[in-house]
Order: sequence, then structure tokens, then C-alpha cells
Amino acid sequence: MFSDDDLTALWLTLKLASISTLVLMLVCLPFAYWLANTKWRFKFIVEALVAMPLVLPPTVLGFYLLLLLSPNGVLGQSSSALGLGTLAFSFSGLVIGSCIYSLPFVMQPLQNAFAHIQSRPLEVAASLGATPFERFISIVLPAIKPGVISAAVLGFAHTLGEFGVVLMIGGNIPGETQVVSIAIYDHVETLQYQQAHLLSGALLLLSFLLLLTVYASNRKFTVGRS
Amino acid sequence: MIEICFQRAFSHKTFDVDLSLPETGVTTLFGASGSGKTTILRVLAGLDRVPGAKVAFNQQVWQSDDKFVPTHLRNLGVVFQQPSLFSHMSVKKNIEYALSLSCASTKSPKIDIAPLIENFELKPLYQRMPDDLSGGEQQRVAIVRALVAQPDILLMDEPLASLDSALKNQFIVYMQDLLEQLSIPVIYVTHSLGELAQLSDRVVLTQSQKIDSYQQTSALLTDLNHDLNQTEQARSRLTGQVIQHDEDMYLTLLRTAAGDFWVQKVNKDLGDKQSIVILAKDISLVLHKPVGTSILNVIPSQIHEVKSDGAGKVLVKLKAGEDALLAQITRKSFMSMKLETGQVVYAQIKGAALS
Repeated sequence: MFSDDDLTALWLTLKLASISTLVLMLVCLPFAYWLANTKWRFKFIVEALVAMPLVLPPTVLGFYLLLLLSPNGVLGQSSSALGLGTLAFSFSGLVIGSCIYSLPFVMQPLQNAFAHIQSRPLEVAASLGATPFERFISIVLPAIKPGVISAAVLGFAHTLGEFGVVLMIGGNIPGETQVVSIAIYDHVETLQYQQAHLLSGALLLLSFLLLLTVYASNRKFTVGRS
Repeated sequence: MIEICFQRAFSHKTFDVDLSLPETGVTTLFGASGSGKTTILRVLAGLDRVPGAKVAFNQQVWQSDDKFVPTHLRNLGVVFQQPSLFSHMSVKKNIEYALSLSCASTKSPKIDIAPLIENFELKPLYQRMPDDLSGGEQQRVAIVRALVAQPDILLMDEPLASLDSALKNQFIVYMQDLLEQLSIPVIYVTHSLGELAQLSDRVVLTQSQKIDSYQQTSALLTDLNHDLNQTEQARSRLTGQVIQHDEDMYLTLLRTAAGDFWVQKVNKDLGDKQSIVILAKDISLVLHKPVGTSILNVIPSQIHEVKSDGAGKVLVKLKAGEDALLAQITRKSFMSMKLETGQVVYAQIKGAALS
């Protein structure tokens, strides 16, 4: 079965995906709300920037991140100045990288969900005496729930499969930066096909289950609405 | 007093609103679509914030130069053209949501909820989801939902416009009963002359960004000089009291300012208020009191004003008692009877036409 190193890599991958998803959800919820509602004429620039990780080769993204995170880079310097240590080749650096890498997968479903909220139910709720907070809880949250589930699961699943960016900014340090995708690469390099099979199979199954969640919840959503 | 005062620039005109409405009964905002009536409603509700507007309700300032009370702090109910139920909540949850926000516990409720739910037949719908309901059922829920929050004023924006016409007639009966019993003021937006005649006490006309107020709906309906009253559509309205039921003949006798009328039996107690709308084409005129006629209602009246439509028909405004009636006759009859202003005639209306 899994070796200790493999289990560590699995655990690290899940930890990285969980933390990145959490950070992304906290950042993206207000940001997506703003994007969906702003009438700012240059909002398209922000949207294009957010979508960049979709098309950029992970190595390009990783390269620039490495420059930013390195002890001489902007982020690296500020982190050292704050006494948080170096970012490159560390777990914190990986979280930053993953957040940028998975940003569009979280932002876009949320932005869509916010954009499709109709104003009429909110007006009705206001006329019945619901405060803005009560309207958010009772009307907005149920309306964006499928979008929130999609965003969280896609962000999580996409981070699981991250390879190029990790390799560029994290390297291959077991217990610190060696995630499953890197471990698989290692096993193949060293012709440990059995181990590669196990890890690949685990990732395959996990990803499939996650996507099932997304599509199942979206299906329920459409049936309920029509 | 309900006061609304604002100006709004449209493409080439300004829409100038300055209204003071009494806080009782049903006030209809009547006009073609795009004439600004919905805007007035939305400004009153605080859903649209027009700069410089002044809105006040019963001495509470809702909007002025330095104040804007948001919608959820104005104690009002709104019913929109589309029913707008919360689609993720069952009918019961929709009603309970409104109940949970109501401030009924702090004061004595003005609106009795139980009979409302009964009359609107909501109980059988309670477990259903809004998407499984017909348009009429949804609108019934939406109306009750707006009222269970115990608002001080009810705003209705064309509540019947999205229903098909068969359902509409049935719904007007619901609305008539409801609006008569409500002790809170109602602002009712519509472009239907039928709803105006049957439901409203007074009218604010919005036409091409201009506003006219009529204290009495009947005064507008019988104003021959108003282009609203084309001969085919013309009708008058009388309000009276139920004074007698004839159970065998299935008739009710109403006493109005224009005289006594037999109408199809209504489900009301003696002494209750009841309005009737009479289409001008359902009234015929005779010079002498007829004998041996099948017509139940023969009302002595005097010709007050006459208007020809230039297409063979004449609209005659009659003064009957203290009220007015409109009759539509052919120009040929008008000439052969040698009718003229001031003349005394008898207006005949079949009881069957009055339901």
C-alpha cells in the first residue's frame, strides 16, 4: 500500500487544497460580489486578469511567482521583514501560488451566481421589512448556494492537480512542498509504477467524486428552478 | 395624508409629480404603460431613489433633502405584477417568512390573517413550491404574504395584468371583497378601465407625463369630455347599500344615490356597501314610464350632457338622483326621440346585466 512518504504527500496535498480553497472563498466572495455589481467601466481589465491563470502555462506563472517570492522579490522581502521567513520553497509559498493558480475556478462561478440574483425577490423581502443582513441570509445565500458549492469544489479539485507551479516555486521537499502530483512524477522517474498507480488512482477517484458533487448539486438546482 | 413630490427627466420632458392623497380607501394610478405610474409607486416604496423627492406618510417623513428611509423601515406591503414568490420556499414558508418579519406583536393587528388565508384558499397550497403553482395561485399567495406583515399601506402594481382574462374576472371579485374590508389605504396601479371602475375610490390619471386627480372614480368615468370614455368602453359606477334580498328570485336590492337597483344576488349582509358598474351599452332610454316590461330597473333621470362619437352612436350622460349614469344609444334613436339636454327620460337596465 501507500508508503509513508506517499501518505505525507497525500496529506500535504489535501491540506494545501483545503487551505487554498478557504482563503480563496474568503477573498472571492466579496470580490465576486463587487465584480457582479459594479458599473465601473474598466471592470473588464480585472476580469481578464482573473482569467489569466486559465490560459497561462503553469511554468510561466510559476516563474514570475518564484521571482516575487524569492528573498529579493517583493513578497519575499515583505515576508522576511515581517519575520515570517522565506516564501520560496515553503508551504506558505505554495498556498500563495495555488490561490493565484485556482483563482478563476473560484471567482467565475461566484461571479455568475451573484450576477444571476434577481432584484425582485430582494425588493419583496425589503418591502416585508427584511433588513439588508436578513435579505442576504434568507434570499442571497440560498440563491448563490449552487455557485458556492461549484466554486469551492472546483477550487479544491483544481488545486489537487496542480503540478507546474508547485515544481517551479516549491520544488520537491517531502513534508513541506512535495504534493501528490510531484510524488507521482518522482515514482515514474524512478520506475516505481506500482506506487505511481496507487497515487494516480487515488487522485483520479477523488477528482471524479468531487466533480460528481458539482454536477449533482447543479442538477438539483436546475430541476428545482424550472 | 400621503404626500409624494418629485421631478424626473424623461427623454424630452420632465415628469412633475405633486400628489397629496388621503390615507383611506383605494387610490388608483391610472394611465398607459410608460406614463410614470409605476415610478410613483416605486418612489413611494423607496425602491427607486429619485434625488430631490419628498415623500411623507402620516406625518412620517420617508424622504426629504436630508433623509431617506429605506424600504424595509417603511411599514408597507407591495404586490408586483409578477407574483415574485421566493422560489426556494414553500407557500407556507413564504407566508411564515412575512409573519416572522411582521411587527404585529407590538401593536394590535389591523389585518385579520386567518379569514384572509381562508378567503384566498391558501391552505390547500401550503406544502407546494411556487414553481408548481399557476399564475393566479401565485398571485393569491403574494397578496396574502404582503398583508400578513401588517403594513400601514398596501401598494399594488398591476396585480392582475399577468393573469389570463378568464382568471382576471374571477380575481376581481376576490380583490373587491379584500379592498372593501381593508382598513389601510391602497395605492393600485393599473391600465385597465375594468379594474379602475370596479376597484377604486379615487383616481390619479397619469397621461403623457401629466397628472390629473379625481376625487371620485365615478366622476372620471362619467366625464364625457375625457378621451378615456370612448363609447364602447364607457361605463358608470354606483355605490349603494344592500337593503333587501329576494332569495327565491336570486336578486338583491341596492339603494344608491341614483335610485334603487335590482341586481343578481350578492353575498352580503343587509346594510353592507356594494358597488355596481354599468356599461353604457347596457342602458336604454324611454320617454314614458313603461308598463309590462321585462326590464327590472327603470330609473327616472334627466339628460345632462350629450356627446356624439361621429360613428352613429351617442353617449348620453344622465343625472339620476344625486348620481350620474352613462347611456349609449344610436344616433338614429336619439334623433327620432327628439332628445335634448334637460329632458326627463327613463333609463332601463336589465337586472341580469348587473352582477
